[in-house]
Amino acid sequence: MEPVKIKLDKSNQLLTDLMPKKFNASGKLWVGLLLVIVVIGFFAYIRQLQKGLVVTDMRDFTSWGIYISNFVFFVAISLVGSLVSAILKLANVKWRTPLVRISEIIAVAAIFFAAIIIIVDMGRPERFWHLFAFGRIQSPILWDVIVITTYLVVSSLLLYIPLLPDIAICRDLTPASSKFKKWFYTFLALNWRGTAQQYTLIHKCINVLAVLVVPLALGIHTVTSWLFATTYRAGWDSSNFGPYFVAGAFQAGCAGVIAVTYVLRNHYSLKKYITTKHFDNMAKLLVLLSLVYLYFNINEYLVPGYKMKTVDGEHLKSLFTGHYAPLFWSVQIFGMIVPIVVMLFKKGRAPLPVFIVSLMVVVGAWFKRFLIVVPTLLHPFIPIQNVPASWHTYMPTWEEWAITAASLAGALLVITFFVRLFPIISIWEMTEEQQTPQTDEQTNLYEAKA
Amino acid sequence: MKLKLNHIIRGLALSCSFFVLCTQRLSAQDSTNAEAQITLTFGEQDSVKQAKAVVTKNHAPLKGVDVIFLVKKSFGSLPLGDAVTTDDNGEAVADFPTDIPGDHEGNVTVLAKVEENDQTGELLATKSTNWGVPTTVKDRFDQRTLWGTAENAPITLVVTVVSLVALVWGIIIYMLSQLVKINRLGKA
Amino acid sequence: MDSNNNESNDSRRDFLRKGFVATAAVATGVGLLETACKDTKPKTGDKVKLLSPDGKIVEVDSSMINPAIPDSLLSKHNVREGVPGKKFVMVIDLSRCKNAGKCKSACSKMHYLPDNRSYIKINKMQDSDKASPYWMPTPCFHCDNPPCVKVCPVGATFKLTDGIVGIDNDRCIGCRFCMVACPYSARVFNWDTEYQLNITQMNEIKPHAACSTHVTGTVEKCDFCPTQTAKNELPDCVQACPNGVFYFGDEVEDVVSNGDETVRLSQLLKDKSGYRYLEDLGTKPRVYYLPPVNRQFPFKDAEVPPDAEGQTTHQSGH
Ligand code: SF4
Ligand code: SF4
Repeated sequence: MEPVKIKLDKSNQLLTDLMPKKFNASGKLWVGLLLVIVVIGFFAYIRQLQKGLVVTDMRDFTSWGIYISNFVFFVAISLVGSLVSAILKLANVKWRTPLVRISEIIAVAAIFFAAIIIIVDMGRPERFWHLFAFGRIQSPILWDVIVITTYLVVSSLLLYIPLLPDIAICRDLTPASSKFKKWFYTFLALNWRGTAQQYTLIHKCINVLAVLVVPLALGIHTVTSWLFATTYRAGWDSSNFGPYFVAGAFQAGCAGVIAVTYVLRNHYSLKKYITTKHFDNMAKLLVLLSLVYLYFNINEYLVPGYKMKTVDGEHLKSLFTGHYAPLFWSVQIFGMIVPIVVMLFKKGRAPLPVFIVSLMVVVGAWFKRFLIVVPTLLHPFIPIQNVPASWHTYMPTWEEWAITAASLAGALLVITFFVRLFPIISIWEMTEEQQTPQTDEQTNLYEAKA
Repeated sequence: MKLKLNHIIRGLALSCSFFVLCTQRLSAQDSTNAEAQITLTFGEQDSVKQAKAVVTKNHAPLKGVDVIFLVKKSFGSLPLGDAVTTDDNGEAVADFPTDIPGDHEGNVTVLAKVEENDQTGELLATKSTNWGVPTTVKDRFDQRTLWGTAENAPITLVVTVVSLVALVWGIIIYMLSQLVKINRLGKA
Repeated sequence: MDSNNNESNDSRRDFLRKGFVATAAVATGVGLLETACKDTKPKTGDKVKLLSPDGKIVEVDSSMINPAIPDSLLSKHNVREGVPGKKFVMVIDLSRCKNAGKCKSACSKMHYLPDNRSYIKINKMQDSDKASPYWMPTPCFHCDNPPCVKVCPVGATFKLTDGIVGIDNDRCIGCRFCMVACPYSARVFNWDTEYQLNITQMNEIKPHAACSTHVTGTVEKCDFCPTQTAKNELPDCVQACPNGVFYFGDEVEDVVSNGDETVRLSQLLKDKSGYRYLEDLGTKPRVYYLPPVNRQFPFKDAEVPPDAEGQTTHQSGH
């Protein structure tokens, strides 16, 4: 294949549009806000280290709380990297190109913070090394550690390798005067010269990684679901849990990409590259994924609901009509039903409605994880009794909220700084696309922008 | 009352080591009636194993004393049925059940005991025999199970995980080597 | 962990390690040397097997062991293997329980727990609306197919040959997976930094690796009182119960005792239809129940002695 020729001068519109830009005022405000949240969370974590997990509202019965549900949320979101960069690639979907890098950085940031939040949840974080020294391969936690580490590495490679030509552009366009920046890009660009051989190599790598990341992505979330499904608890003791989690993860991840894409598109005026057609397509994909997730939800709740085994029954009652009913129904309706309905209409698939709906899905997905983790723990086989009244419920303390918010803000910060440093839409792949004869689909796509 | 009983049991347990040393010897240390004695012997009648206790006072057989036969166990002594009253010869006989677990060789320690009373005071005789059923402890401790130690993980699980990890990380290392190659190509 | 409380705890533990178990020493190798060099006592030549924190069995000259700890308390066997030749088992007679709460207070005392905490719970149970409720004490069942042990990522909770499911509070990372895996809610967590053992208490408990030693951020549970059973004494809850609810013994001997009476385990279970709670989960508990029939006491709700409970917020389940 002919290597792509990228003109490194002002005449190349792609460069003007896509090269990373300095933060403007609102960008700075955004970063400042996230930093404040992170700092507060850090402070809360120091308190937790000093006082022990007693600063949380977790107790002997609700022994897992929003740290764990947040962890599951992060793992779920991270699946999207594989969805867009691998599954859509293998399915030969052409319009995905501008979205690949966005979804890959979301994946990396999310899985990174999933790892961090799990350490936050540990009673003895300084003993983390015990996992390597005394690890028991029989424990699903160990499988999770293995598969998450692996996924983090593979996702990072899948982010980094296709980034090489663009880092080289950054390197070449950075004036020698800004020494650190020059060194930084030179270091990361690995002597990229854009030779035909180098391009062949990265194409090969991307293909291999795209195949590799799919089973891994299914793996992380299936293993994460096993943390729950390998126990006897009502609501978790389900052989359906793996696919149920994976389906939910694809839905949440897809919505996450749409939301981030929308913000970037507006903030960096990328309308030329991320068109309304993209939103239309992603919205259709999201409807499909939501329908699949809805299907799994029906299985997950209605089948045990039909039988109403004692403890299952209590658990389900608390979700359907009891203490958690308002949250449960809001999540199911606004996080799943409403999005599906809205996006069935063409008008609903315009960028703004899709953005709003995606936000609803993401927020719903976060609370859905909460609903998976917490109510189950409040319904053990032997009813909770003889404990202080507060142990019968679980309401996260400010420390838990702060730490959780900080982890979310941290993930967003990683994405923000990535965008600040690297082109968020692949310049070389866009060039490649423009240089190769366009398929009908692509022609349509880019005509729409005119 | 409960506490007292516990003390008695503990006292029994403590003194038992002493008794093992001098089996068949009379024991009425704190009894007011030093002359009362109990001896324990083992015999067999019609292939039924029997424990026989003889209670004497001033070397004369004592009739009408209730003797309890027990088997000593870790946390208490197991009675072998109800108390047996001594006959004219001062003898009390109890059948020894065939299914009492002993140690790995079938050894059991049998106690013949007379509760505290005015006539004899408290009497106790202890004797070991191999009449118990030998017990072998079957434990699955070294078996490869899901609840086993790290070293005892099921082979299939280990093989699966190791091969999956090797496969995936092999590919990752290969990818890294490609990066090195890209780097080298650029230098040329 | 950053807190002073913890640091002092850690240094205390270190002291203990060097002092009588030399475990940390073995972990690093350096420490062992140190201890050995400082040791001025003549070697007795008697070797004692001990467990180092990384799970290895080490032989240490018995002269290196702090004489403050009675010999009887030092296990001569590998503490991760349990007392040889025994299979501890418990039988709980529900027909006798009237929620006197003495087992709970004895447990708190024995394990140096705060008054309102114990490893044994007394639950109000009711099998159906028409059936009378009854009290069901639940310790850890020391399951033979223990889900908690299965899921522990670091082997901090483990099965001993004598049937006990032990916890190594020096290894536990506090992930609480075992807590959610236990279907019987038998495990409690040391959320706080508040109650820690002093040296004397530590000395008493420490030689028994299966014993919970209250380390902040780790998990705890009923341990069948190894300090007692090693001496052939009944666990404290068994001794404390005024109604003889608990029988404890050795399955190999087929004998259990509640302090007052000693009976054949198999006979007792046969005669009184012994069962195990939630048998169909397949966890194979080592704790059996005798059904609450022919009760000795009429059921009285919430008969909770305030001293045993410590809190007045008693609520019944259903
Ligand atoms: S009762 Fe719970 S904690 Fe105890 S061994 Fe069984 S599963 Fe483990
Ligand atoms: S909390 Fe401790 S004992 Fe329980 S599973 Fe985690 S590491 Fe193991």
